[in-house]
Amino acid sequence: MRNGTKLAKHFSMSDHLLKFGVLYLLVLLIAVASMMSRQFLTAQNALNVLRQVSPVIILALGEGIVIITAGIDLSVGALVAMSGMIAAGAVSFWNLPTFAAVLLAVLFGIVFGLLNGIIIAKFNISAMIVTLATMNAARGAAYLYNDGAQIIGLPDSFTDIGRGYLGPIPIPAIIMIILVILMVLLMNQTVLGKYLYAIGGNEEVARLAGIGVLKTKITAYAICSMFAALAGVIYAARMNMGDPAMGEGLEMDAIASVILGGINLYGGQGSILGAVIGAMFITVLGNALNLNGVSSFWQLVVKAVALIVAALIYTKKKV
Amino acid sequence: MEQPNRGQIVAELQDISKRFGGTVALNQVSLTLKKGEILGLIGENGAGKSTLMNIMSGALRPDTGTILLNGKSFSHLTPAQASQYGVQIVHQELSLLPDMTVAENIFLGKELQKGPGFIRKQECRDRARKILEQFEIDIDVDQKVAELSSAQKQLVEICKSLAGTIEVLILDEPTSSLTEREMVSLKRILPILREQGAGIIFISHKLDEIKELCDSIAVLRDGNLVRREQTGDVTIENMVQFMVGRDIHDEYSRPRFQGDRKLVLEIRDLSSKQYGEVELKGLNLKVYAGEIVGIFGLIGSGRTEMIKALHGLRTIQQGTVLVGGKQMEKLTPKRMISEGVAWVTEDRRHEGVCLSMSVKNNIGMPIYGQVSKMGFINNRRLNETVERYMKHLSIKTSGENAWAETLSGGNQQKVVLAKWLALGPQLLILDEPTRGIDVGSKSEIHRLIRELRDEGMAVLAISSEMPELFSLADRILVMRNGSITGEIPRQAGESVSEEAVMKLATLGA
Repeated sequence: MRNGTKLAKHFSMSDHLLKFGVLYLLVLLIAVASMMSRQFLTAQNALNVLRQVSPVIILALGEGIVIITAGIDLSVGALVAMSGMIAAGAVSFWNLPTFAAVLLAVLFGIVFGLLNGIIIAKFNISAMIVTLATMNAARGAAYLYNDGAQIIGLPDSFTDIGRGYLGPIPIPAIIMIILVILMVLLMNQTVLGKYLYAIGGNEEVARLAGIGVLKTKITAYAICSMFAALAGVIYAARMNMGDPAMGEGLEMDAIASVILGGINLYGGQGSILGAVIGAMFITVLGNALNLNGVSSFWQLVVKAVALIVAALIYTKKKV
Repeated sequence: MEQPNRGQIVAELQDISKRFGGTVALNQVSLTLKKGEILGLIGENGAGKSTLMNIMSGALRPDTGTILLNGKSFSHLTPAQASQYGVQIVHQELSLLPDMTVAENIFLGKELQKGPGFIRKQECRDRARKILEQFEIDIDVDQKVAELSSAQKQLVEICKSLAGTIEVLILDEPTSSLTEREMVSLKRILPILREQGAGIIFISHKLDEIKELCDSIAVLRDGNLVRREQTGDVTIENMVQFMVGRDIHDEYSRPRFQGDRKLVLEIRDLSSKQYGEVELKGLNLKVYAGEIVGIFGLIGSGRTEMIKALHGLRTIQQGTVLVGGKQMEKLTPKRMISEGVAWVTEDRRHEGVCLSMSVKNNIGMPIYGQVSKMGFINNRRLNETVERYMKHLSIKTSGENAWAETLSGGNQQKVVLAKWLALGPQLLILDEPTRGIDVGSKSEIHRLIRELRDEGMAVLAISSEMPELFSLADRILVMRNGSITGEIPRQAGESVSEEAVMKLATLGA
């Protein structure tokens, strides 16, 4: 009897749609895009999209775990610019080897995230305010770093991170796939993953269960910024330059991916894979609009509508 | 199994004091607990029981005092430390995460691990299943907690405390929402834990349970430990006297309202069903001017849900609501207020007062419209009204501009009352009007409610404290499982038996 009701619950249409809805939407979007543009469903474009989507997915993974703890991080877009500048500066000004430059940028990301996390968790200040502030600080620092100028002329070993291939697969995609696997493991198999959900579900319950709320929240922001820094390196490598204006509005893409992917904006619920699919949706949408000659200004509006609609659908279900 | 050292002290609290704002919650309380002892901790609501236990389990920090666990001394504990030293607590309010499974909840914060932070999922599930079996509880460990009934949740809450090592087990009113069958499980598990040498602290308002289960009792009254006795030496009547500190006498007085006994509120055949909440099944209710109707029901009886439905905060399948003889077309809080219905909710801190606003602004909130012209507030009129009610209810503050946060619980509740009374309602709905406030303010609020009744106001009072209803209500309606199972009229001088009420609340008519 109980099994019966459980099954019924499992297959209830609305739950199912909520869980996999964005996946169906993605399929639908691909179908429509293929019909509207002949270039869309080509191997060339598929690889192009795969390369485009990789850093967005990496951003969404980090943003996803922060939102699962009922937090938010607005600083990821600006951090992309700053870490891109650091990595580009390291290879071009200081002639550091590529791996050292990447390491430096990622370390900077971790420190930046720790700072975000400590201010938010330790001093109990709204994540929205703190990351709004640090977003501007990071953007400002990115401009200050080279007096507002871009850093160009980067070695091939560096640009390969964004442009290279391993066999047929773009290197950013390989980095992205490894991180997705790690994050899925983290969220489903580890204590830290459970604690992130628990804190988002009910911080007081988590505290009373003896969970180190402070440490866990700080870790979430550190991971988020670390991933954003890595995404920044990939963007810089792909563009063959450090650009202080890079990543403008990427926080919007990251947050939209997470919400589209069905992660509850108020924390505690949702799958990190949802964020991955959400990021694919956002990127494919942008790509399809591009191929059909829709201006990037209109793309902003379309993405905004998609985000609001997604938030509306998921919020409605909550009540 | 090794022989536990019975009689050895497992935990000791020394001179624990705690203040909340202006209220003294605990005053130099000392208490010892031995291995294998089941201690019943009793006291009226607000006596400090939960505060003391929250200090022992690390949820709260004491202002002064020492906690000794197995001889180790602490000035305060964190929840993780307490759990590590074997202090496990079953909270009065459920502390479960609805989106996680039963097994995940039971092992939250104490996950069995392997490698760098990986969870032994299978082992956690097996252990959780074993704990449930020990209780003979039939719940699937993979089910999400959101899908459980409230009694099942309560059982999971208890099981959660059994996942770690247990030196001290604290049960804070675990039985309020348990059914008879689940009580049997609990009564079986406590002696087993006692045999294993755990010290158990059991908080309950059901004194017969205390008498049955506990070896000894400790009585708290207004933050002071007033008695420590062996259960065998005292009767239930003694316990009640210790708790109240006076002989109980019926404070009930008959209504003196002489006017027209007009029907103020009528609910006809109200049914409301909503996923995950108590279902209301065909409720009928009448409240007349100049009377206090009391509603008694345990958790899950649907008492608060009824009031929510009345304000349109739940989906209503059928039924009619009439206020002052007028049928309500659409139910919303705003409509109800404009018909003169004031609702003092049960959750004072979240739904009653704005803690970071001044007393004046709290009281003024619903009457700004009445004291303003073209959107401009007439400050003189506002101040007059606020002052009148502050005086009338004798609210103790440093002034009308003091933050509500700085007031004691009792005075905060008076602020909430003042806010609604300023509207001049014809019906006052009170949900747990004196929860968690001190005895002094309590009797003041009771007196005030009686005065309002005598002036002709209709009052609907919900309470889970029977003595409160006995002293207030002119009629007591008992709710169970979303219906009203009986009505107990009052006659001055005639006492009502608690048993009769409890029987209606637990077994139905």
